[in-house]
Amino acid sequence: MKEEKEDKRGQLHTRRAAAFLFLGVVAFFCILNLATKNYRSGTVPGKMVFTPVKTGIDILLGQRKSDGILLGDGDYLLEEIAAPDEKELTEKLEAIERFRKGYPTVNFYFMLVPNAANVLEEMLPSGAVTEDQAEQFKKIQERLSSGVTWIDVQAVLKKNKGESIYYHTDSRWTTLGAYYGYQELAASMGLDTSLAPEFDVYPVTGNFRGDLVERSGYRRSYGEPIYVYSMKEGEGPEFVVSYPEEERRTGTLYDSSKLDGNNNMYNVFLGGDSPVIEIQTTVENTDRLLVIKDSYANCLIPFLLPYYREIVVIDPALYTGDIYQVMEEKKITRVLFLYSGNTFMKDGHISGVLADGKTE
Amino acid sequence: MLFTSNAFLFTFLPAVLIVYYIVPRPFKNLALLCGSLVFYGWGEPEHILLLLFFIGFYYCLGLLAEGSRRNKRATERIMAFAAVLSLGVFVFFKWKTLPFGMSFYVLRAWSYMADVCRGKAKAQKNPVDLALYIAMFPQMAAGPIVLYGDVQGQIAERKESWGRFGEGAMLFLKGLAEYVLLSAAASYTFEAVTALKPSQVSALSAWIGCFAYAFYIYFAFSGYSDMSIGIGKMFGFETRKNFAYPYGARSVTDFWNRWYISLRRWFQEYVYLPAAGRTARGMNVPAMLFTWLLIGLWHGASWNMAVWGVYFGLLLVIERALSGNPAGELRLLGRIYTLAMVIIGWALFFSPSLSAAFKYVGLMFGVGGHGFVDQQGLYLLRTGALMWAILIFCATPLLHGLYERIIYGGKRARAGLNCAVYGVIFLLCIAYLAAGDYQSFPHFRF
Repeated sequence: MKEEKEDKRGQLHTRRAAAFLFLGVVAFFCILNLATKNYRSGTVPGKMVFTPVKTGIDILLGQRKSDGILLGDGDYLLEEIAAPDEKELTEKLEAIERFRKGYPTVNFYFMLVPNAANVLEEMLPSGAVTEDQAEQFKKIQERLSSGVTWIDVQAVLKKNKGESIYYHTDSRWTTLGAYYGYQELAASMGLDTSLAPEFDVYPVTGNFRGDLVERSGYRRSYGEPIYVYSMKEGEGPEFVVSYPEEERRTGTLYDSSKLDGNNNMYNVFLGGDSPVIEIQTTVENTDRLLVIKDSYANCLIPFLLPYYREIVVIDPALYTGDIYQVMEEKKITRVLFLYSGNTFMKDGHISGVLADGKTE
Repeated sequence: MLFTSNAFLFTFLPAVLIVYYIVPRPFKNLALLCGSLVFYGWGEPEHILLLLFFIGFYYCLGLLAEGSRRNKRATERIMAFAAVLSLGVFVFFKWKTLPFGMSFYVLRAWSYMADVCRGKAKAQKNPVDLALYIAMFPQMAAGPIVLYGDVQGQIAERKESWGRFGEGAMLFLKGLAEYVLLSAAASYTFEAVTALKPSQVSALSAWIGCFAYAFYIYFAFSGYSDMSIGIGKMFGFETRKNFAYPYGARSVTDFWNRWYISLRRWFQEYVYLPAAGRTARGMNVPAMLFTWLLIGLWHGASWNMAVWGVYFGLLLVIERALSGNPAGELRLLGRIYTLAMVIIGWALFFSPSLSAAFKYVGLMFGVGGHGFVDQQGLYLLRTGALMWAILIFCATPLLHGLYERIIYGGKRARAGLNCAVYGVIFLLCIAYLAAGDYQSFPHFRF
């Protein structure tokens, strides 16, 4: 009888202690909420502190994927290969074809860059299965008309995959990767590479943390270099870069202000994505290139400067103007579509931008 | 407002607790009702008038029914009128988008109405008390569907205590962990499978997907119920448990005695029994199938939900006809049979349409997919191995039993250890809530 009573008292004691614990924790966060004026928000505060805890436990439990990003071997974070939406893909390809037909004298090029998860396949977590990007590209190539020159970069990237051609923590390729891409492009476009200037290759930071870190929560303390290939003094053409939407002009392809603070440092190339960028050079020919692209192009475009009088860069995800007007006014002679596989599959803006104008 | 949102956990709940415990006894129900209305209006202020109208309507009808209790035909008419109107409102909104909590408060309101009309309960004279029963915030989002008869006494009189509060806090944290840690973990695997194209799904992957869904929905519902019951205890309410380790059931009948118990009780009390006639002995098959059709449709106005309901109705009828379960005394076989039936049921439940459901069931048997075993399936199985072990362990009574023995089994209860365990659980949940976005994943809009 006495024992039973003690037992009950023990249970009661345990419950009361739990009540105090609960109220203590709730009160702590409640005060935190009041202090930070976060009380109406749906999200519990402390994302910065708690994300590593969550990721750590998830990894412990065998989870190798977070928000579509795979935690691979060799410190690589790899974006999963996106599957195309058949209907949207058809729309995009048809839009490109319609656009091309409007300009029979202009040369069209199409360059799809495979993503890291395709090229660095063996870095995927063991046994992980992703979409077959090579197969996707093959199908797209077959469906594009012969009027569009397909530029294959898959082979050259696979051949050089032992080198740092992709960032460990970013969804994009490195400047070296882009350099290989440029070489393929130059061959297909028939560019006179004897004009190519010599480059100074140097890192602008050793501490780059790419977009995949923020998205996945993995590898938060990883830092890696970003290299730029800068034309040597006196080499290459003179040029001016203008951003019409911002009414801004500059004499450099690199925005070093993006290297500090909380920016994604990849935005050092061309200052990040802009709706339109126009680059005028002193090159003595009449070749004018329009690049329709995603951010993969940002670190490749500097290599193209010595070959074009003018390069107009349009990012369909941000662009709201009339691309047909640009074609006419700028007297464009070549058009290059430059996308990474994943962005091309996921981004629907391209058909919208191409659909405007005179086809309507 | 979801229980897992910052605004609920660390703003609303502490505020309501403080107000509730400060105000004198006669105003406690009013305080709780005001809190409930704030809770309801937080996310969908446009529907609060509908809720209040609904409560007022039932309040008046209740009084009317009480007044005409001697006149059986008048009572029946009132009941029929209430039934048609609430069913009409329900069907109308189900067909459009259902306002938050409506599928639950309509059932609670009906429980009150039916009890009053049948003379099982007296009409509630105090509108605050009736409103509190229909709109009480812990049960607003996902139940349990407390029957009026079970709670009417507690609304009038109940006793809060530190002990009960602590019990409630522990239950709440248990539910929070089920919901935030376990259910979410299972949902990732489920989403990984459903993201695949049918041609990429092997039978193994299809079963993995279904099992993941089974854990996801169990921990989501059981977790939410535990949180709800736990909060109730903090305010002095005692509620029957809503889940009793359903995946350990030895027959489908047994499963439905353990899964969302309050829902099945409600349909038993207010649909099956009136339809079957109370005097009948044995099972009334048409009434049974009708009841299960409604249970299915309550979960969603679509063909696959209807089929899901009737599927279980049929299984219950068959089990009854075979008196017990087909596996008879073989307990293990019974469990396997039950689990298989329930898992196939979930494929009907989660598929967006009936044809999709049949396709998915086909995949589970290797029809139209990527063979029986493939690399994808093995990958899912391997990377999730530890998670599966934890999910299975937590879905059985083993863990809780073991825990109780550790805490209470010694000479003295280990209050410190208990606090440490629940403290870690709470922090883990907070970590997951802070790091991830859990606003969107459960679909409670039945």
